[in-house]
Amino acid sequence: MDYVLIFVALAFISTSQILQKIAAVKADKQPAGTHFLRRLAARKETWWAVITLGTGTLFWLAVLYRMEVSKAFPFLSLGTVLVLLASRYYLRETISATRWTGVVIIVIGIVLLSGS
Amino acid sequence: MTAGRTHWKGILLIGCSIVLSAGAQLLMKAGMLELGNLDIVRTLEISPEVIVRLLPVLTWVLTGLVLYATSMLTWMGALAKYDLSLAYPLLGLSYVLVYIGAVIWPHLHETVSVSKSIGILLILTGVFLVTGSKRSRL
Repeated sequence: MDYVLIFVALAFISTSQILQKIAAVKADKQPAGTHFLRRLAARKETWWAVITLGTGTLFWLAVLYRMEVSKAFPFLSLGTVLVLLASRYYLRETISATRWTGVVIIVIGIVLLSGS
Repeated sequence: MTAGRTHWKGILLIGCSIVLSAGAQLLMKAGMLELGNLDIVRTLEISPEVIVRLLPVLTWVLTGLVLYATSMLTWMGALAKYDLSLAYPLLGLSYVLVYIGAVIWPHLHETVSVSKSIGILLILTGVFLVTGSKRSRL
């Protein structure tokens, strides 16, 4: 049950990152004239990003309420893996072998740093 | 990424996001810690003394939330320029800052450990690889 909660939290938080990316790129492509922040605020993706981040955070707080912090926190690093997979297969970004290696090393580092 | 001004602007935006989100987490952590020290959650008794002690908690948590929101804005500014797969792993650096901050800030008094120090080295190595690969230079 706790692990399901962790996965739901991470799925929401990762989805928010994808939405933030889409909103930022679309706002950046719009003709200049208004400020970037105004263009961001006018995009519905921005607000969906806020909503999914808020929902993910609430699920994460539920996880922290039920689990020991030092046991729960290392799982946050899995979010990085989810975001990278979504960048590759949904946003169609090119990820070099070197970058994948760097990501795996960062994930291990986060696990060590956030554990007990 | 094109060379010139935008180059530095992008790095600055990512740097700000990392520092702001680490600051936000430290402030909220300190706030929640202080809240745990107050008995208000258990007794639900509101005395003038409790309210006075609640003020710094609220200030910390609220400042933390403001920093968090600001970091989201600088982050989206950075995402307009960089691939998500390049920028997102760099957020690992905020874990390093949070750890260093929690050790230095007497209020949080966390201790240094070998495994955590190795964790920092790994994150820095990983960030070096992610930003240094040929196609993805910052």
